[in-house]
Amino acid sequence: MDEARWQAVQEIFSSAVDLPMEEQSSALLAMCWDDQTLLTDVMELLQEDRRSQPLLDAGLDQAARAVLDFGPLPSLITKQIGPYRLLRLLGEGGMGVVYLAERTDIGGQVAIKLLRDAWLSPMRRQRFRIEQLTLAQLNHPSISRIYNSGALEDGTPWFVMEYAEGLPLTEYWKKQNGTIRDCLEIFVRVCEAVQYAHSHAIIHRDLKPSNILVNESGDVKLLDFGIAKQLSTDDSKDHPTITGLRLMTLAYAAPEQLAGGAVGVYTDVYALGVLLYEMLTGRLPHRIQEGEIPEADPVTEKPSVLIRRAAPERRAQVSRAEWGDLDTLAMKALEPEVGSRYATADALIRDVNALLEGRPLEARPAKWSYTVGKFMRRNRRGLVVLAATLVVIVGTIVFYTVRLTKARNAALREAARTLRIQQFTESLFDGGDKEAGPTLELRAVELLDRGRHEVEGLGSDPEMKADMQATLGDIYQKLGKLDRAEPLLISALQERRQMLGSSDGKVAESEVALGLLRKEQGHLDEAERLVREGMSTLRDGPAASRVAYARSLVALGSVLEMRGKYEEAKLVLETALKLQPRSREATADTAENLAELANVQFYKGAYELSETDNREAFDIYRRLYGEEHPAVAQILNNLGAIETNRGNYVASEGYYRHALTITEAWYGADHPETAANLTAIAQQLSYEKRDAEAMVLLQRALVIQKHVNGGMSATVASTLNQLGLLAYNAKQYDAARSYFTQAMDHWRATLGDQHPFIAIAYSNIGSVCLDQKDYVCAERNYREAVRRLDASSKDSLNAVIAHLKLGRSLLRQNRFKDAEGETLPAYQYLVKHVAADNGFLRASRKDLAAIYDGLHRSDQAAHYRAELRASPI
Amino acid sequence: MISAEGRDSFDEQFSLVYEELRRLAAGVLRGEQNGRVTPTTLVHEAWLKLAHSPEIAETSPLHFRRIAARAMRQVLVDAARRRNATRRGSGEMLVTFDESVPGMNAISEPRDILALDSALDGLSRISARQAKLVEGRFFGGLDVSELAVLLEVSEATVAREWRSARAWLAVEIRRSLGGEPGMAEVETH
Repeated sequence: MDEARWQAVQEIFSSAVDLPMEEQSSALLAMCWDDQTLLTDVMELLQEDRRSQPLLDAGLDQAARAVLDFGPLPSLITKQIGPYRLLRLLGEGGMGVVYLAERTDIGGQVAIKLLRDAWLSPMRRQRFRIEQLTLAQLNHPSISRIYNSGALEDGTPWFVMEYAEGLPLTEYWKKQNGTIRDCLEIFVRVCEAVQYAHSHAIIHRDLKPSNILVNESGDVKLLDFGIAKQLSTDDSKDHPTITGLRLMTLAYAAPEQLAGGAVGVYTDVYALGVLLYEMLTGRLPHRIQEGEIPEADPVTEKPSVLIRRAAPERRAQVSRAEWGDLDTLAMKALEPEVGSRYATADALIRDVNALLEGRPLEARPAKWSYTVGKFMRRNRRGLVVLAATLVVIVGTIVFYTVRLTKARNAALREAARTLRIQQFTESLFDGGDKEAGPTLELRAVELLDRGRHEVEGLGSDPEMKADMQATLGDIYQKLGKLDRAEPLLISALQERRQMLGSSDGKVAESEVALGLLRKEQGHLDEAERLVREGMSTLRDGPAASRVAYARSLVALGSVLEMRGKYEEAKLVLETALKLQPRSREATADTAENLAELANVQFYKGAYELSETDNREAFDIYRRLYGEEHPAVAQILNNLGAIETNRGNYVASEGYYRHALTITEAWYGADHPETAANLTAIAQQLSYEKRDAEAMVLLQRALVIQKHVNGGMSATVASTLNQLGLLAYNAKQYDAARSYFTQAMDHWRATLGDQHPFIAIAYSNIGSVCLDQKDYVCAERNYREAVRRLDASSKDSLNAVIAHLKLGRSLLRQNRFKDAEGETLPAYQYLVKHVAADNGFLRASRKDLAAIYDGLHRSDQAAHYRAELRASPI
Repeated sequence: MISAEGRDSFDEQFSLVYEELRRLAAGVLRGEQNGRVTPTTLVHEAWLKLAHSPEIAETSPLHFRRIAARAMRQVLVDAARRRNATRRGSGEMLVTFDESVPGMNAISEPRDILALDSALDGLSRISARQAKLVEGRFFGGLDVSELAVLLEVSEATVAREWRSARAWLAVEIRRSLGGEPGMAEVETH
């Protein structure tokens, strides 16, 4: 039967079905003519219609109940899955059951793991299959190979892997009862296997003793690589649930995994740390009951302490100096904050080998310990959401975690403080439904406003108070609330100076932070001074502060850049970049470094280099934060600016608009970042002659900026400058002049007279004069511009355009020779560096034609006219 | 998360709902034998769970139930296959000898569902709209007025098309079950 046929049958059926029996037959005969099959079909339907249909009438409830019994996996007797015949049950784990099997075609024994409760929709089964193929590439003696995989008809995934015998790592170790040296040697073998997988870009994500088998000869075999990734639902980030985490054993899960954040090779390193700790001490670093979320306990006891207490005979196995190193190593692998942890398994291996060979470690004892864990309360369903939100606010926006220092006195004080912090954090979330966690609409700023007042209540512990203030101040700054950030940062700095002395690393960090605030406020002298002070403290400090030192260099670079000292900024930033991890290990700091460097290159006019660095930063941010993050938006802005200056307006508008969407969504509508985005879009809208639209955006931006900054500000200046340009285009010369002059005032007040932006302002005023035919005024202003631009960035587009304009003002005064001296070099530059349809290039050709007319060199004049005619509009 | 348009988005939503339904079904039934769980309640629970997730946020409740109906169908079919006592040559089936299966018609119910499923496939080939109708009604618990809105036809059309679809499916199911008496049949006049 086909569609048409069915239509016909239906029609007849519908007509006949309600007729009384006696009339039905004749009606049918009439409608069907002599189409016998049609008649039969309809009659069949009519017959069924009369019957009661248990399934179709009653619905599926009963049937559903019957089939939906996902009870215990049916016992398998002599089963066959593809070419594998199941022999016996090997074991049952949290994830599924493992059977011993053999291949019926070519023989040989394998292990088959069936993952129950891991139902994949039909669409995902396909993806699953493909991803397993990448795992099959792992070919290492210590890694259990995956030979095959698939899914049963009901969706249960299965894997076929190399059959490995042995005990789980920790059990083996307990039984062996070997020396600490032996322990480390086995541990290294495990790490090497993990490192191998990492070098193939596969992260295990679920390392635990049951996944690491050791046989009698001491050979190690790692199981289940990468499986956790396939099975976690993609949405576990957005609504994390405990069941989503069921696949992981919580004890070995890194803090960032629990919080649903980005996972990397460092996540496996954390698990390795837990394993090492457990092997050494026989205990887990955090006391966990199954089913609870672990709290990172700030008093995680050092392995040396535990070992010596529990097994005094081991004291002889390790020398006193080595105990310290052992602790450092173990604790560093367990660092809750990713930046302080061993970044790779390889780094961990190196230090273990160093320890075994009696050499010094690369790691230094952690000076500050951090924990985010204290902010999680026990036994609350909304727990993981809470943690996730806090990490998002605290960890993602500002790249910090809240720092707590270790208790100095008795455990009593520790407990009291713990309570205070818990209360503090809970009070942050008051107002949200505690069961479900704060609603996502609760803006970060509102949360912080509450937190700000709570911080005062921590007066009895000045060090912690300072830490809180510093963190909150940073967050406020990043969110654009500079006025609120200032008192917090100042207070934090003062407190720390008082408590820790001027040469302490934390004081240095506070100086840098305050310096950056000053930069945003436009007080550049003070900014540079503060940042330099902080930087030199950190430079001379211990190696543990290397990250902070690199950050201070980047801060200095950004201040210098703002001051227009581009060469110096470039050097500083390049120095910083050498300290940063790159490629796969690159962090947010690396990206920020690259972005700053890219900015400097941009202002120097080195667009290619700028683009390259921006793109590298973009890739890092995208990997770390996804595509909806303001850091990504910033890079998009940068790329947009590059395209604008190259004259590719369509491309740049695309970048800017995308950036604006991200920024507005993240920061809200009255944030300086949003304003900056608006300005950028407006700028290049005006290049495209869409002035009305540009005006609207700019005025919006101006309102925001004035509101945020108050007083004199460089950002307001930029916006005024843009408005000036629009007014100029609309021939509102007086308004334009006023805007430009205001812009210059702001810039002069905040950046100093020698700054290239002052040059731009002069250039713009010059343009107004030019159009008003006041050529002397124009020349005067352009000369000011040229003088400054040549000094700071001789070969940049801005300098060239200034020369071009100066040339035009001279041309209008009929000083042709002088004009040629300005316009010709400008033209030569433009022809090499801008798009063929660039307005300035056209202008230069036009001017040269006029100049040579004036100089009576008609050939040359004609040459440029011809070029002008031939160029695209 | 940005959801892509068209096919991709539907696949994402479907996968999401499918897995949620499966989770719910397993979770609830594990605890209670003979619980008051039906496809409709499962779909409702899935809606409560997923309503605020970004993939689903743009979808109206009605359309959600449409997707859920499709997903529910798949869940039941998969479950039925799992339970099916038929030994098949492909070698991929798990054979069950589990004695603790509830209900007396342990063998027939999976078969009924599978037969319905394949009959529905057949129906969709000759009338996509009717197949949607049946799917929505059966697996999503949509009533006549809701179906009318969803399919953009009148309620009278829904009623009419249900009737003929029912008859057609009955014919198909009877055929595929090979005339075996799955459930009691009563002829009424």
